[in-house]
Amino acid sequence: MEAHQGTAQHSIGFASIRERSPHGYFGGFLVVNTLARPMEFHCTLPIVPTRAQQILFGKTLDEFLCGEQIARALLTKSKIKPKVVFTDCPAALSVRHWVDLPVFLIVGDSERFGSEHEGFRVPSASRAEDEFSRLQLGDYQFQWLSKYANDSRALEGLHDDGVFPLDLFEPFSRINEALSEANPRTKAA
Amino acid sequence: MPSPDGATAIEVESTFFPSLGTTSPFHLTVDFADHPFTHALQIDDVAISNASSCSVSILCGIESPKVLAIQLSQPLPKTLGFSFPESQSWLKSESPAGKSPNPSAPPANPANGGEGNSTGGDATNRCVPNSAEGSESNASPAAAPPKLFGSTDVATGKRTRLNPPKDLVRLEDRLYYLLQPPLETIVQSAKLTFPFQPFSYQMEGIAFLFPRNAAILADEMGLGKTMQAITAIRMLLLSGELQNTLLICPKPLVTNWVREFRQWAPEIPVAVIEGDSSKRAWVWSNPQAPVKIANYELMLRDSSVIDDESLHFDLVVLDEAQRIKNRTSTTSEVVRSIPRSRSWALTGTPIENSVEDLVSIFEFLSPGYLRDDMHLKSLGKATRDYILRRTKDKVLTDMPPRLFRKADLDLSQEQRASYRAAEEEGIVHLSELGESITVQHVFELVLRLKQICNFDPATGSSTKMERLEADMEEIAASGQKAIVFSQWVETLSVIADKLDRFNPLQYHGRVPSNKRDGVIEKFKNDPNCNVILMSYGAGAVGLNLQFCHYVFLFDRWWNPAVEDQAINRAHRLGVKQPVTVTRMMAVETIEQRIDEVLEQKRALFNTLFAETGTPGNLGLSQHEIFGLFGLSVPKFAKAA
Repeated sequence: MEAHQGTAQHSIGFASIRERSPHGYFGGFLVVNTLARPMEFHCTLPIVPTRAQQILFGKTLDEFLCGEQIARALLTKSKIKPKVVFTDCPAALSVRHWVDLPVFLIVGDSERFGSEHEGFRVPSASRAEDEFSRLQLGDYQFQWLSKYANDSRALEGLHDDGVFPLDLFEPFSRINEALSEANPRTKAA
Repeated sequence: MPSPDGATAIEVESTFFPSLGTTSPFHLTVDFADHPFTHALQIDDVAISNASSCSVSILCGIESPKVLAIQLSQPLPKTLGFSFPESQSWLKSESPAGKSPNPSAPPANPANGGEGNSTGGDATNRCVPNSAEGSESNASPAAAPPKLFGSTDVATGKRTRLNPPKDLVRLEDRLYYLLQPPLETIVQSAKLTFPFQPFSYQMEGIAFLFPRNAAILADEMGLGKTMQAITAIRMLLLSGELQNTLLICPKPLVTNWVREFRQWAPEIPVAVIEGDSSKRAWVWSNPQAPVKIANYELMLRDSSVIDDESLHFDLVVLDEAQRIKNRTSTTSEVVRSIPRSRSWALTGTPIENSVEDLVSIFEFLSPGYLRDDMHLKSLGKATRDYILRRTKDKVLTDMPPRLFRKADLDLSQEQRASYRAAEEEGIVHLSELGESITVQHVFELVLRLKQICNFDPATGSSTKMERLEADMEEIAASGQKAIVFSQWVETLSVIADKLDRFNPLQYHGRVPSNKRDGVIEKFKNDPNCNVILMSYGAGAVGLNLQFCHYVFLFDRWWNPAVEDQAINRAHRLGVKQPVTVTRMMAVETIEQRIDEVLEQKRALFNTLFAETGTPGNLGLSQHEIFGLFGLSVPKFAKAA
């Protein structure tokens, strides 16, 4: 597990990873404070998987690139260690194997902010349903890897802190706009 | 990987499978004798997870296998990243020694004396690259967690996002703005309160100003430029980007700005630069007030203070920025010399007379960016990202309309006689001047004739006055109030005598500035005061008289933009009823000739502004002034 230089109990991380053919996979990680103001941001350049990776990883290619490669790179670069990390990319959940941070997929109304439009694809996870735990809190449904059962405590802690009236989808729209700005070639025509 | 000739099967071996709960070597053989090479590998159960290395053996029938080594593990992708200025103070506030974060008092609010990590408005320093970042982050969680994000209503719908201006080129600077939350979220999370809910176009105006180092907010009068500027300043103070702002406005509007700041940003201390020179010098250098308000008139007197090298403002805002349209004026030069990081201009009429007015304002915003000789199309293109102009008919579709009534009146017999005599005499005089005639001579005649159109100098007879009195009877009877505009204080005094029964109030240049607020308050609150008499100069800008539903233009100004400003004292946000505007004009006089010229110009302005974002010439040119009497511009005047 990679270590972070700092901790911030009252900050939340948002990781978003997209694929847009032919540019590849790219992701962004935004840490915000509890006033929704940005604290730190990291993004990657697009990664195009090699043919060998496509062949050999098969269905797990998304998880390899999004979790092990992109999300791992983003989260380990962050100087602030947020209390939890939310993602709107199912394939990024596997980053949990590499970082000591609870990582949750927010299931739901991600289309509002451009997850699956303008030619972008949200990489998916290739796991059996029983490998995920689920929890409904407020308006949100969360999903995480069952192997890390204790992570749910962090989620419940946030709930107790009253975080769930906030719009947890909104920061993903910021990340996606920032990614388009950082990678202008990937903007929709 | 190319398909090997003669290959019949592939073996894949991996050594690290944490997600499968094993680190045992994994061996997989795929026989694809009957399949094309790539197709065989796409079957569902052939997949590697978390493999750190992999070797592939190609089995080619009975011969010894050829081995290809494929390296699957690879360095992590490169990332671009940065920290935001606020992160330092936020982490500090979370440390055991620091205060627990409090959403109602953000740590970076200099207005509240918070621990701002301001960059002084310098865009290039906004983002702190990670490589240069200190390790402030060993803080442990604060004991008492705040209620996160306040009580944000998720379902509010509308979100106003900040967009970086086009002249911001560094990626980090552009991302700095793109990654800010919607304005509505900032408002809610910081628990900012407003006297009333801003319109969405006002939020867009704030989002326009917020990231810009150079900007003109050129909304039509009455759309709330003041509120938008104040709120943008408030949010920039909150984010730590501003610490020291100077607002310059016409002297009569100083108290109005103070009042508006009190209403829209009550937590921001505001200092007015006024009084004797020693007091002013103290206020100029007072670090306690993040917002200082000065008037144009004292710029000249305090130019030595402004020249002081230690003086620097994060932001200078010019209200009624058309005041610096003459770029050679001393006021304009002094204003342009104020050391600053950001420059905003507020004006409903970025062009009063010609595009040179706009170029002059840009000399303040971004010196040398525009030239007088630029083609209109180029000018429009160059200024598009710097100017935001909205009109009421576009953004306030449900606002009560302005109803224009033309009061085309015949002069009384006495007025007509005086008028004819004055005109004939005047034209004869102009003709006698020959080549020595100047535009000033023509102006004098125009003014004399216009005054006769108001009142006959010999008898005091006035058809305009008769009409006004009749209308005022009706207005007063219905408990309404009216504003009467004239360009002459003397005319207003005569009107005041005639309208005495309606308890008229006067607001013009001869009313001391310290008494003007009282006049407005009395007009607003005294039900017996049915009319206020205003000069265009004093009453055309910055006043909020939306409780007034009748406006009379007793005589006409030279420039329709100034008339519009006057009308919009009443027709502005908050107006509940249609505003009836009566334009009085004496037919078959100089007033009608001027009106015809101005109407043509108004049409031209609307066309140009709609298409290019830059208006054309609105005032009367020298040629047009001479043309009022059928005269041509003499050669000498042309050369001048």
